[in-house]
Amino acid sequence: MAHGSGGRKLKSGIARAFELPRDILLDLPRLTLIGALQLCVENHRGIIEYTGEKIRINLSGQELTVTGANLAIGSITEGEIIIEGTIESLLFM
Amino acid sequence: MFMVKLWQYLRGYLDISIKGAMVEKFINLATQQGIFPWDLRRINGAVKAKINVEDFRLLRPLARKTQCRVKIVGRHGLPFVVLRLRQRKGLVVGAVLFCLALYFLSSFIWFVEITGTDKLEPGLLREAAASLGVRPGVLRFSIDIPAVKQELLIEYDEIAWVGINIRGTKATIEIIEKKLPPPQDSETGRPCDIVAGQDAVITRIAVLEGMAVVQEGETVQRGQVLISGQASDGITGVQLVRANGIVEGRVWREATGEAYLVRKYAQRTGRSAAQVVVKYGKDVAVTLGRRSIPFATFESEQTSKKLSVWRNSAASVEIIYIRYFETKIVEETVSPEKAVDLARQKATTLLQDQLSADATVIDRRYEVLASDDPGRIRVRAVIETQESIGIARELSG
Repeated sequence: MAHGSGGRKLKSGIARAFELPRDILLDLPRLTLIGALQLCVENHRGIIEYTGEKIRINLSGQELTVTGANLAIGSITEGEIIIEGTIESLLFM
Repeated sequence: MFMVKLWQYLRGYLDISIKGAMVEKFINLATQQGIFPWDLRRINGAVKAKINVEDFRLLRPLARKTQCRVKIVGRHGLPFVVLRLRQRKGLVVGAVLFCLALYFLSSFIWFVEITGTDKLEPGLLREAAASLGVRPGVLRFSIDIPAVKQELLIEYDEIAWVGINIRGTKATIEIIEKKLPPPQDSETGRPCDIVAGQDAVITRIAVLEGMAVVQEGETVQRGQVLISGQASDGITGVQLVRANGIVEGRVWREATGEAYLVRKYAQRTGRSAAQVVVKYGKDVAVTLGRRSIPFATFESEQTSKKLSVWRNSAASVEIIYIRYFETKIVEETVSPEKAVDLARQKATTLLQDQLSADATVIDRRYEVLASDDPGRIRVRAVIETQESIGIARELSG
């Protein structure tokens, strides 16, 4: 967000050229999904909404909506959030 | 994961319930401040979460800012256990006293067991051991085991070896008594004859005491006097002495062995049945499993386990496992040569059992006997040995 769109494009290019992991270079979130049981979101920006059926998470410039049943937050720290329960869908907006 | 849980338990944590319109904002603010809740769960209007004890104070201003109400629902972990125990000092003191008492009492000897006595009176040994410091109620560390062993060995000549074992609160004194050889006849000094123990032909006779009444080459019968205890030196008349000497002779022994051309024996069929008998004391026996044996012919194997209840043999429980194996008779035909061999072996073993240790075998002969039953083979074995035949027999009167 702090960088202009030109800088972002350049970084993306560099990352592609050198095959570097883009999540580090571009400040993108990294999602790890274990089946439909657990979702680990690294590099998040806080939660927007939390109910048992729906969790909305703020990512840099995007929003992730997780729906499912019996959703619980296993742990939440500044950089990482772990969602447990029966995950049904992930939606980026 | 376990380490994390353990750490959380040691530090102590709270179950909290957060209520309000902006619960999400409250959680975000908390994480930004370095307060990390876990196990968040939405239950109706509220969010339940777990949080470290120290972090709870920091939540107050955040709750005010986001208009949330935070309530403590449960307290977990070691700090709270300690807190609760502090309010119940009696319990703690009791537990500590219990442990101390257990340790204290287990450092005493409460039982003394004496094993391995045969001729010696266990009660006597118990008293002796008690006077040496091995008795119920003494500190186990106060027993000087080598000294007690030494003293017992000195005090009782009959003891060959003493072992003292202290296991828990029980001291076991293990005794091995000396096995004294039976007093020799020659030591009794009473007059006796040397007589023949076997029918034999004398090959050698050496008199040490008494008077020889047989010669070499003579055939003697069992019980016949060889060296007489009634010695006469021609001056003082007949004197009764204890006859002594070496008499060797040739002895023939024979035995007959039998073997059948058809051999019958029982073989297990592989079917078996089990029975368990529980015995209590001497009179009560309960049979579990099969009551009757379902086989016509069978062998049985028996193992038993004894549970002694508090070292009281009268109230002992014994469990006996009995296994019955069904058998059937198998017939096997044996060749005549093999049957002769078997019969010969049987005859030989019969003879071998009769031989004394000092006997030297001079000759063996075998002879197949005529038999009225064609299915039966009989073999006679004759063994000729050279052996000592003299035995002492006391003179009566």
